Amino acid sequence: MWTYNKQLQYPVKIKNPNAGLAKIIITQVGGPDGELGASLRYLNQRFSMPDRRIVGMLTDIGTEELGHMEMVAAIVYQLTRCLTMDEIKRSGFDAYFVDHTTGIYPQAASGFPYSAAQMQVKGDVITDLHEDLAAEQKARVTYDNILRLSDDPDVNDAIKFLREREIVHYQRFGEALSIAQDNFPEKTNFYVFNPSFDRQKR
Amino acid sequence: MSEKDRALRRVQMSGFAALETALFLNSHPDDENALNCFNKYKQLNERAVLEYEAKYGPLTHRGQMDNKSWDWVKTAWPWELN
Repeated sequence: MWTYNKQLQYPVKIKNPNAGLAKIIITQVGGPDGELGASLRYLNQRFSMPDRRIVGMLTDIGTEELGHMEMVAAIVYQLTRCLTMDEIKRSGFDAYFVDHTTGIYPQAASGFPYSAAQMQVKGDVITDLHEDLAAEQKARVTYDNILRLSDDPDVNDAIKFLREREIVHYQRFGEALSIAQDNFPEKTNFYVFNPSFDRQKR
Repeated sequence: MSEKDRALRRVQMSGFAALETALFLNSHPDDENALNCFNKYKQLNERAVLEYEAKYGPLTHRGQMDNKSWDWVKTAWPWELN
């Protein structure tokens, strides 16, 4: 069960609207390495995890990712305030505008709508945790690329916070993988046994 | 039903009643009867949560009572069947 907190995890206060930036930053709402996908990946992978500590990690990080989706959406919302039709056309935001006006739609920067086909729940602890480690690095690179493309200090302040969270989550998932491997019944070959599925037979 | 299940049921019932009232209040924010109803179930829920957590472990991070062990990852997750 979840409850909502009426606060952003970290403040988002962007003084200057900028439709061109909004057009790329929307990718962290619904793109292939975005926060929605991260959250759904972790919150659904939880069920097949063989250790309560790893379930806790996926629960808490998956929940935090929903807060990050809200922060990225807040950035896009504030960047698309009070736009003129001329700004919308010149920035290339017109392709998004025609379908969604200035609403927040989960999509990649390319316009591709959010798809669960971009993530996996394999039901195997080693496989899923490696996917999660990779996901954190992919999101970190996306934030690095946004920082290369943006020179707005208000945007960059919030993006740097989100980038730092990817690094912390990567560290925690690495610890979760160690916990999983330390508890494998067969220490020399992890692949003879999938504790996410085979544990009933122990 | 075990004592633990009964304690959890009290948390769920009062929590659901408070949430149901909150949805109604979103479209009727000045309805005093509904506000009284919300406050009643909110208080019942707060008490039920404290009682449950004192005996059976945290329902949220902030329900952590023991200062020696992080029970959040030691007690069962809600979909586990014993």
